[in-house]
Amino acid sequence: MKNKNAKTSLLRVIIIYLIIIGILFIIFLFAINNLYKSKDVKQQVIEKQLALLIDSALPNTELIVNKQNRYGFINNLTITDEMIFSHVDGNRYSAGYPYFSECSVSVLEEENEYIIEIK
Amino acid sequence: MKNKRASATGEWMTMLYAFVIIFLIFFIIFGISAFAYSPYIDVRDIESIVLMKKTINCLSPNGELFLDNVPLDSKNFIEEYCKIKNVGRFYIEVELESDSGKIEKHTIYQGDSDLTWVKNTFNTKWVKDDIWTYRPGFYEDEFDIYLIKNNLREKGSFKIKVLINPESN
Repeated sequence: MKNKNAKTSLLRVIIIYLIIIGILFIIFLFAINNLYKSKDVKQQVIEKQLALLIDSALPNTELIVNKQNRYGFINNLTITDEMIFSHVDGNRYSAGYPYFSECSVSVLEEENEYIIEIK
Repeated sequence: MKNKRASATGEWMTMLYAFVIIFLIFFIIFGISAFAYSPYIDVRDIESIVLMKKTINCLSPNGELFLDNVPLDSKNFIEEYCKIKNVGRFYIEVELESDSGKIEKHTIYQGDSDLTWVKNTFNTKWVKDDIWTYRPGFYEDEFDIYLIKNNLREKGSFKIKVLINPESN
């Protein structure tokens, strides 16, 4: 009887630990998922895509970027010292990304979009 | 006499205490790593292709390269001649050679040539995982071209090597 009770107790502890490990694993997966969908990553994608577009664009090209797009809402898009900075979903920090175009690049803000002029 | 209910409650309390500690450690580790680590998107190889195309369009837009016009001795030809800005991260090397050898071989380059051995180091077995983020972007290619010097037009080759350092931020 005592032996049976000990076995039941051990089984109960093992099950509880397995549940805990399962919960931690799910939290871990969600955390990794969020890390890869974070605002920083979205900003990085926008900045690098735009930098590559600017680099490969011919003179007198206009790039139109919708403020609301698949990566979120772009609050601010600026160009300073041959670097492009984007701020997505209210994020205040942006590392920016450098471009190397020989053209002069500027950004105009419209109501629903940004226009990048490459001259 | 053993109080079974008290013993079970005590067991649960000990277990609960252990769980709280486990969760706390877990969240501290995640909290710190979330600030310290951010996924990195590497576009340096694509940048090197774009830069290679720009350099070719600048030096030889129609398949002919006038050697008299190109500053062959300049260590700044990308900025001065091609007007490409922000080139601090790049190493560009162009090797020009005529098939007949009538026009002497020229090599023009700009940037830090040490990037070449850095890139070669990354081809070794021991470079793994995280350090890969610091691998320079690389592209090299060879094209047929006509080299023109002192009214002599010779068929030759245009070998280009582009390396791009990680951005410093």
